[in-house]
Amino acid sequence: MQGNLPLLKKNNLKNQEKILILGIETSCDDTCASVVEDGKVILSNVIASQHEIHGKYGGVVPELASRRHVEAIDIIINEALLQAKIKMSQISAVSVSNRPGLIGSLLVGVGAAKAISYSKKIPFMAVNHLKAHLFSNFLEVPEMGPCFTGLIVSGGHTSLYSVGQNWEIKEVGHTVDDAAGEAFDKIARFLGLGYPGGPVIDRLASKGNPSRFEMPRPMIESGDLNFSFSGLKTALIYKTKKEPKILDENNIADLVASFQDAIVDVLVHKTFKACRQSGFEKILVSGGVAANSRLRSMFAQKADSEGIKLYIPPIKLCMDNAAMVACLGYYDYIAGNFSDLSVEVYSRSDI
Amino acid sequence: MHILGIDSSTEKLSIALTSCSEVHYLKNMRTYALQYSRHSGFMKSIIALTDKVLEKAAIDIEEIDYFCVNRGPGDFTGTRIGISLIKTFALSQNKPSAGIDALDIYAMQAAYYNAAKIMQLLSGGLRACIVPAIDIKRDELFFCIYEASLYEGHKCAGKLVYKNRELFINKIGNDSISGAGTFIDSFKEYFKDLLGEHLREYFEKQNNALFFCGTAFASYGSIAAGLRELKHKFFIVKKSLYPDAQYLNICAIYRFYKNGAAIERIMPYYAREFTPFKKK
Repeated sequence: MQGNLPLLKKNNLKNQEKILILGIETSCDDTCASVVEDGKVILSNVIASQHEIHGKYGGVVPELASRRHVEAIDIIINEALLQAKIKMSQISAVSVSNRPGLIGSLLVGVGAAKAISYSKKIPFMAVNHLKAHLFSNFLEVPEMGPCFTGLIVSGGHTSLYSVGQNWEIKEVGHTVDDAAGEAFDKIARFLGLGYPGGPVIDRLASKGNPSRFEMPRPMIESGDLNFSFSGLKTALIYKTKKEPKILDENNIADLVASFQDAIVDVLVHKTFKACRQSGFEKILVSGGVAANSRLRSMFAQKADSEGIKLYIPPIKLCMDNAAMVACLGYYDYIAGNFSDLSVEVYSRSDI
Repeated sequence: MHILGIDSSTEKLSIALTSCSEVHYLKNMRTYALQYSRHSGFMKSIIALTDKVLEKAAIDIEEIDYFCVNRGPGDFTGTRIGISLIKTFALSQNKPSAGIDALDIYAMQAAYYNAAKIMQLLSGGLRACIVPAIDIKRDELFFCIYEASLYEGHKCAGKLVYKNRELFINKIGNDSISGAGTFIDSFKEYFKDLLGEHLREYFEKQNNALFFCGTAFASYGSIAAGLRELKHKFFIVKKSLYPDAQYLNICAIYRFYKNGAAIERIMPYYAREFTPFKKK
């Protein structure tokens, strides 16, 4: 039965005017569902954030995240359909991220997607969450095409990819310890600023002087394209222990601005280095940290001066969302790359 | 009507399709069920097994009228997979769904396998209590007390029909947690509170029976030995150590006809609140 499902719908493909993909994303702490038409028109993009729950603990608590996902999943899917003014029966296929992420969280979304695929007899595409982040740019610029350097920078990942002529994706660099977003969260927690750390630090840093405190740029001259943010975090902590007064209200904005600048500096440096090494003329940035205003402006400045075309999606599409999952699913759908209903979930995965 | 039930709350995944006529719903009941012991997760096989059950019954998923699931307590991940699937099946088919408490299912299952014995007891003016207890890890058990009766109680988990007579499985206590090693003592205390002055009467009539069931009796063999201290007639219902979705369906059918197919928001039922260790 499962084997016949994709074929069944594929034959109907010709008659379909519009291709409507329902995307589901539950890889971390946000329950998301979205309906996307033809891989580019976002009809709905619903995100149920759990920040309030995890804020108390200064980071995502996997068991709490899974609990909230299972409570919300059907409501969020229904909301995505309502906002899109689409009935379940009009959906062409369902796409879900099944890797990498928190196992308990992924299982909820994948279970829901399988249930829809099986009961509505429509194809099912299990996609890579990181690849979906790269594809979030295609929602805005569908004609973009391959040959670019991609940076995915979030609370769980900081990786550089090279996407070649035939869409072959190769990881060229990654963090050897903390992800950039993780460093933001941990420093925000250390300074008692709240969770998630990225937006709080971004806001506070906008009032600060980024060159006031000297911060290391870890691995900036390492020769490879890897990152490390753990040492930077420790450097800040030691600095505050040595000079506790820099934690004063007057200094804290300068402190987080300097910290943020160090992270962004390394990200910009390595991403443009990767792009030059590959001989590409395009850079794509995505992931939650791509919402950071300093990152956006530094990347834009550098891209201008180097004559590189830069693509960063709007802030809502930088965060975890299901529109990007639906978008990537759309490309799998038109290529006939359907998944079997026996697919499982994976906490780690290459792109 | 056709009811699809999924129980993924323990290491044995159980899926059942029950078809019955609306009027005499427990008569002429047909069930197709499948049980599968897992080696890893259920995510790989759960759709294929659901498909197998429906295929065996020659029913398409579009014909299902009611979707139900064991909402726990039980294995966290397994329970969530079942709930996620059942909720989404119901949403995509625009049909009602129900989440049934795990202990209700164990009690119903134990009663089903002992219906003849229970009827005999009740006919002779004796009583029959059913005690499901499940292993909730960290050396703790989750349990409650039910009583099989010819009359429908205030908190009824479901009913059976045995030889044209209705047998109601009434919940008579509140869900409770006890240490695995202290279960017998906790049970005695709990039973004493529940029956008050009738307790003596219950135990004096040695033929009043106690039926124990649930995963606790699969995990902790020592409890059975301890139960002998009660010096009372008891049975451990081996066929109700793990839940079977057929009995989940029986509980759901009862709810369907009792409350109507109200839109229900299924929430998982956890034995304890979850508190992360590091709280800031």
